[in-house]
Amino acid sequence: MTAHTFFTLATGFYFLSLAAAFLPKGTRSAMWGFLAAALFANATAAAMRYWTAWPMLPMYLGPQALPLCLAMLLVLNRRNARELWLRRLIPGFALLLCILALLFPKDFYLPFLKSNAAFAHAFFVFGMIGKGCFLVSAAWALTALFASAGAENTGNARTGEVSAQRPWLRWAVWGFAFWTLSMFAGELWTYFGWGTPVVWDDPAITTTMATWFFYICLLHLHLTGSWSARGRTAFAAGGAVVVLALNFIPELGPFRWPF
Amino acid sequence: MMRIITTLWNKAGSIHLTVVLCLLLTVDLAFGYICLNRNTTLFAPLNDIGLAEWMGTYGRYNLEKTAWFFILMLLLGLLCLNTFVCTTERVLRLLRFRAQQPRSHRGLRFYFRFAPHVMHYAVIIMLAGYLCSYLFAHVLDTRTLIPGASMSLPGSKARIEFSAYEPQYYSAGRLESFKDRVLKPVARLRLVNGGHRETAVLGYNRPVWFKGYGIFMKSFAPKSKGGMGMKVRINLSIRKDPGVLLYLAGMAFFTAGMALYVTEWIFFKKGRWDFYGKKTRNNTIHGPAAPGLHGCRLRPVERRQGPILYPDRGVCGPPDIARADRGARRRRARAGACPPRRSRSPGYPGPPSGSHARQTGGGLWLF
Repeated sequence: MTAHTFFTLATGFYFLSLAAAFLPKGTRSAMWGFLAAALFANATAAAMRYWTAWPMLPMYLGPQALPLCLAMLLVLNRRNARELWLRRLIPGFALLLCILALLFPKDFYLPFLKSNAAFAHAFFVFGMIGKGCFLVSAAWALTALFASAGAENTGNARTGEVSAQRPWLRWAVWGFAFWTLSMFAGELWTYFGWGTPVVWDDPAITTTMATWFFYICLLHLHLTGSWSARGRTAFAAGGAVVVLALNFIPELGPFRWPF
Repeated sequence: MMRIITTLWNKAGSIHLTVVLCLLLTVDLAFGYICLNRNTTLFAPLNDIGLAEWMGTYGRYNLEKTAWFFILMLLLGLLCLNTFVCTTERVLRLLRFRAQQPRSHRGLRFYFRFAPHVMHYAVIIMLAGYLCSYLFAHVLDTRTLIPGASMSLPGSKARIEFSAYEPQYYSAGRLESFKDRVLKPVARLRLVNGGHRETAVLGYNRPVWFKGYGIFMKSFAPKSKGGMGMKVRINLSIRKDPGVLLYLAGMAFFTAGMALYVTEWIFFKKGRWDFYGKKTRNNTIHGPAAPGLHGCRLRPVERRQGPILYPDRGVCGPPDIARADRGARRRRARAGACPPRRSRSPGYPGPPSGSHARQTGGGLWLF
């Protein structure tokens, strides 16, 4: 079985996991089983590609590794992830990413020699965890918005907003920390490999920085007091769009039928 | 005059400005991606000819594709100014507060409050390093060496000799197209400085530093065993970059600041420890550690949000909670359950008027 087959299987399991999250209460635990299967298939696909390219960095592994990272974060944090919408959103995100990665692959490039460096691997791994945390943060923020909308209907909007605030903020902070480490590892790799702080051959440098500034903005918004809790939560939810548009889509290739 | 300066200082350090600048930077950089994509050849010379020359040539005559870069520099400059002003204001306030506390109250945790400020200063140092690098780096033209050949460094008698080429080949069979290709190009250099000689190993991602110059392997030949009969050669990129140390130091400071911040979060989170590192009981904050909340029991909402006492900010936690808390404190004071909002610890300047809207920079209270 090839990495592509495992990844296609993972996509199927993510779909089943998402579908199970919509089942009636009592049968939803099937979701975790499907998610574990998806996680295994996705991890195998990513590991196979990594093993093939080792000691170099596999090119454009991001679209396949990001759903894996998301699912892993959800499974590791399953005790706190009791909100129904969160359990639907994260497999939903993972499924969307998998479908895009299957339809628009760009993973046929050979690795390049300069990626044979510890900093290159640190750059990739930290970046993936960072992006995963950002997407989990956005999922929590969306959950909070749904919860506050629900609470508004029952006349208890404020409780809904404030109580749901902390998880997405914490995830955003962790994401920011990993993203920063990834940027630093990338800069060190750039310096040791090319002798300059920035390599302008790869336009992704701008989108990486844009994401960093977006999250700096989000973290500082809490100090201004000029945005409502709902506004900040909506801003955090917008992080999903930023991550997808600036860091995921640029790694996609042209359309190709996967079967 | 002083009034104008003070107003400008306050405006420059406003956290609202930080937010606006960060948003503008995000938009500008996203637009930059569109301009940079497929136009990387326009920006690649930046690393070789330096910022000033690049601006006068490539930058000036391709404004439709380079304007974002000029805007980026302007915004980063403003961000540096903003960060410096607001962080300095916070640090000074923290130091003043500490100086006026009794020695017994100067706990370990106080130092952790500097973590965000370390990160903020680190950003300035890093950006200054980049600027230095692009303005003052001395880059030599690419040099090609064959085994046995040597080159001199400008302005000195120091020489670099290419003594041997010992490539490591790809031996694993996982990538068929990589079979027998060079995996690690290893070049042995002899560095001669007057009577002093030493050897060094140069490779991809393994530069050599000599007489203030960084020597980087740009490319090499042959790329595989046999290599179509090509002669052995290495292309070197040699540069003296005064900005490197600055941005490496900036990165180190930022990482240290983040580590401090995480440590504080892990060990002092959720009100288990007060501001001075003393253990709290039943979520009650004791002593002068709690300006405005002296000896009062935290309400559930405050417990959820964790400790909310920061003398450098003088505000109890996130805006919503702080607002809620001010109302609660008034109610408690009316009921006699808690002293009314008392004057803060002696010498503590407290938050500037206007409360949150004037909270400039510095720490994040996130946890």
